[in-house]
Amino acid sequence: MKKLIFIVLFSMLFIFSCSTTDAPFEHRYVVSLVLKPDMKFQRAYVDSTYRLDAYIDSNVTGISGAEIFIVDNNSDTFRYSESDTLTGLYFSSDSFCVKYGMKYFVNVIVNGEEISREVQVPGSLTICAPQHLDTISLSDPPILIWNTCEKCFDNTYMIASYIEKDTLMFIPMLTPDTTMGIFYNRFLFEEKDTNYTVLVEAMDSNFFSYLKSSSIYEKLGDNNAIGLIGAMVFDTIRVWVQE
Amino acid sequence: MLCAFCLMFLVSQYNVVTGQVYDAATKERLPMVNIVIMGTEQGTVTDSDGYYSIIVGDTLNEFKLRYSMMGYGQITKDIKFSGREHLSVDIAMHMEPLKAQGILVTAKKEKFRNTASITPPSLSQKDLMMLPSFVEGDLMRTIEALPGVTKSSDFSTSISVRGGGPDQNMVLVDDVPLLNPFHLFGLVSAFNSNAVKSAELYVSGIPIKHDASLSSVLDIRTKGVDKEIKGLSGVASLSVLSGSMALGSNIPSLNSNFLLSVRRTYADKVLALFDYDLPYYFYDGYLHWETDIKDWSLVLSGYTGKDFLDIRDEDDESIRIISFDWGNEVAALNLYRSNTKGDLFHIYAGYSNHDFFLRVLDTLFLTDGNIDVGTIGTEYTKKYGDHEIAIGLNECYRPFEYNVNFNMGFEYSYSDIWSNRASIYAEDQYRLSENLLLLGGFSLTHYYSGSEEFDLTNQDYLRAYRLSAKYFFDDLRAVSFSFGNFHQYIVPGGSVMGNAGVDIPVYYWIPLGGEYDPEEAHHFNLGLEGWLKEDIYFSLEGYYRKYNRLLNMKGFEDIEVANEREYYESMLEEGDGRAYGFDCLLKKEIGNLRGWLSYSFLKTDVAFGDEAYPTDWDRNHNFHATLLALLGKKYEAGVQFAFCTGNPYTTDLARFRYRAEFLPYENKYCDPSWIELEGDKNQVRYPPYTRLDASLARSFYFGNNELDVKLSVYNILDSKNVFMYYYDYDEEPPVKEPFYMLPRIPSIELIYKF
Repeated sequence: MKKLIFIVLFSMLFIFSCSTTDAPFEHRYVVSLVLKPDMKFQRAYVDSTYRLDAYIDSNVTGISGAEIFIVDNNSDTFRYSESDTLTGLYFSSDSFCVKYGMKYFVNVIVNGEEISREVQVPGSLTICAPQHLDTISLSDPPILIWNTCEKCFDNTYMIASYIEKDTLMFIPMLTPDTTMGIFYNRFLFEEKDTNYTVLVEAMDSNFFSYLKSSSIYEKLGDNNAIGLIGAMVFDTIRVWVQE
Repeated sequence: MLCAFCLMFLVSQYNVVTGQVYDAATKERLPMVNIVIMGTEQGTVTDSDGYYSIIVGDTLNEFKLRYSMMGYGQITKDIKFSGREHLSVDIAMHMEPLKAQGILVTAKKEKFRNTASITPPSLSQKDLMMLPSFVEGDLMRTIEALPGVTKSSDFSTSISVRGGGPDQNMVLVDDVPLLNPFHLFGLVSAFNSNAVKSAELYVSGIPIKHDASLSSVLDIRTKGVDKEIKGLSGVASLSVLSGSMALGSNIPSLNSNFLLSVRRTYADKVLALFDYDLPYYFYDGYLHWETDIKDWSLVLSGYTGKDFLDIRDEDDESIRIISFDWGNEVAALNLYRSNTKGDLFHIYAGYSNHDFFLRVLDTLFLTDGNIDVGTIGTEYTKKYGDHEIAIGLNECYRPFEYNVNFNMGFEYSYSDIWSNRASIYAEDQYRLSENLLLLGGFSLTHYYSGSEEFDLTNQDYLRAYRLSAKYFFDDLRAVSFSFGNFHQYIVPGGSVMGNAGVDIPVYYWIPLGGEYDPEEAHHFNLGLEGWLKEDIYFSLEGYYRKYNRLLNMKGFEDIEVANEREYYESMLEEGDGRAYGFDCLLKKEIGNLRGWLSYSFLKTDVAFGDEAYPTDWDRNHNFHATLLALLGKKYEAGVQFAFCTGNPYTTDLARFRYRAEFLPYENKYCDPSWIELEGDKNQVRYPPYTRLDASLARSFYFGNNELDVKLSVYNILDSKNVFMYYYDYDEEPPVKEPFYMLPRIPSIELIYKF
């Protein structure tokens, strides 16, 4: 029996000594591109992953030389150009105007690798009530109401409120309805006699998946890339909140 | 003086037996030894010096005295008077293994002979009291040292048995299922040691009547009062976590006994004296009432437990940051009728309830749930020659209520979901020859689930089987094989505290309905067990488990949230799993130096969709050593050592700059931050897990009362067992920093028995 115990203990020590080491580095391209109607310029950012154990100068990240072009339903092609100020940042030209409800094909070519995704831009979105610059009394709060957004993925919206120019209480909330009693939640409006911005967003499927994902960035199709290529529409109102 | 005079007067009128009782090995005098005149209710106990005196009426000239004490063999002494006499009788008692008081699994040679599969490992109450504690004695933390049991972290008392998930163990309290039996987010279990009589952990050879969990059954029986104990007795204990009190008594006029036990944390009350508001406490309480009426034995038991967490805004106390409470309630009635032939008729009925309420940031997120369980059943066991046949019926009804409200705009409400499980079963254990014991069992279960709100109908007839055989080489050694299939009808729909990387076993439980069929597993076991000497037990059992239909909560990104129906129908994904390995146990059960060695080898993995990975609790090698020592009469010491493979985890493969959009209309990015890119799930392991715990207890005697002072140190070597890694970006390149599990934690317990 003693022999058996020694054999077991020795085997355990041997096996423990062969425990798996950390996995190797994995290179991926990282793309961030969100189409938004009514914006003068569309933006994109192209970067890659970096080693965790290597020194990286944060100021020199980003990949230049990428080719970004978007094709609409009419087969018109719009190209992005590289920013002079920030490596990896790309802008569309002012001739490209993203339209509500339109479908686009986004293509990014970086170091010879093509990353493409189809993007469905939702229809227009408008907050119906309360009105912009209204005064909200938390003791008798109104219901936030907006219109049904066509082609909005899963008929789901994201709502957020925050003090202007501040992200102090930026808590996004998802809802499948077109109403929300957001002003009933006093915690979101803890600071009184202040202007708050209330934001309602609708998204395409890519943006929605990214929003719900716990890993922040999604794998982009079959490509060796992660990030977000999607679309969103939104409306905001500014309201004065008092007790 | 007056007392002495009275005693002398009495002594002159009656027969008297006096003497002292001492330990045969150490010659130490033993206090608190029970001495009873057999056939009467008359008796006494030895004083703190081991002396006793018992006065007998002059009509009683010939009788037997019974001497008994926990941890010692019972002695019966014939006494005979030939007139008025004063007899001096000294008794030497011999230490022997505790049998009747066993708090955990009770494996005995009798059970070994009469069980057609490997007998479960056993621990006695004395062992439990002597084992080192984490803050205070905890049944679930004791069980983790048994073979086949693994864990994913020190922060939780939930266990995994032979590769099964923490949700795949059915916990029964007096035959009633109990969900989420934990306090303090899983850090301690809901079982107060003072209220638990016994617990059996079935890891193999699970009886056919239990077909409602995939992995194991923990069968807990609440405690009453021993019949020898007269008057009110009890235990009061105080640890750094809680204070508890157990009071019980025999009621001879009703042929009954009862035990009431309550426990509560007190830190909130103490800190309130210093104007500090601790927003958390828990309590629990047990009641056990036992009555014998002719051939019937009636056991009525109840449990209630609740945790409260209420964190409020410092500036405005009307605003709740987090408000969270959860708890269980159980009421159970068991009726037993037995006869001298060994036949047993058992009827049971019970109700349990698990509820929770969670409110985050005022009304931003509200969720509450309520799960009731009504169960009723009966079992009749009868011996026919070499057959022992058990037949039974079991009915279990579970209504669920579950509401989620997300800032008044996003609501789920499942208020009329229910499931019903009705089973009929039969089991025959047949001793084919002196050396061969066979067992076959079959059950048929009708499962039905439904909902008033949307179609959740699932009707199924499920069959379960048990087959086992045990071949005895001699009286001390046997080999056994067992097979069984198992079903599970409720699964966690996520943890109440979310998936924060910590296994917090406070689950939302949901019934399986609609397209979700009950989960199923098959177990195959092959084992060898016996005794090396009279007092050294060993077992070695290999196993293979196959999970054909596992259901797992999807990531939130994959769940459709438009309405209740879509949410329910898309929330679970189906997969497969398997587990295999072997468990070894070597245990010295009696003597002043006792203990056991256990080693478990385990491999377990699951596959959901395209992804296959080891489970979080896949510790391949698990070695535990436990040493218990009685140092004279007054000191007891315990040491526990664990050495296990590190748990699997998902490593980071790279990092990237995350540029979140600041606000959509401002068309600019926030300052970028580094984010890690995760690799495939659970492909690497933490360093090996080691932990050494130690305890020392000293007993003080005050007349018939006893005070135990127990010092424990959890993780005495302060081993740095990694719980998780994170990256510190204050330096470049970032430093991979470990977050460790529980450090060295000393604690003290005061246990006063009266």
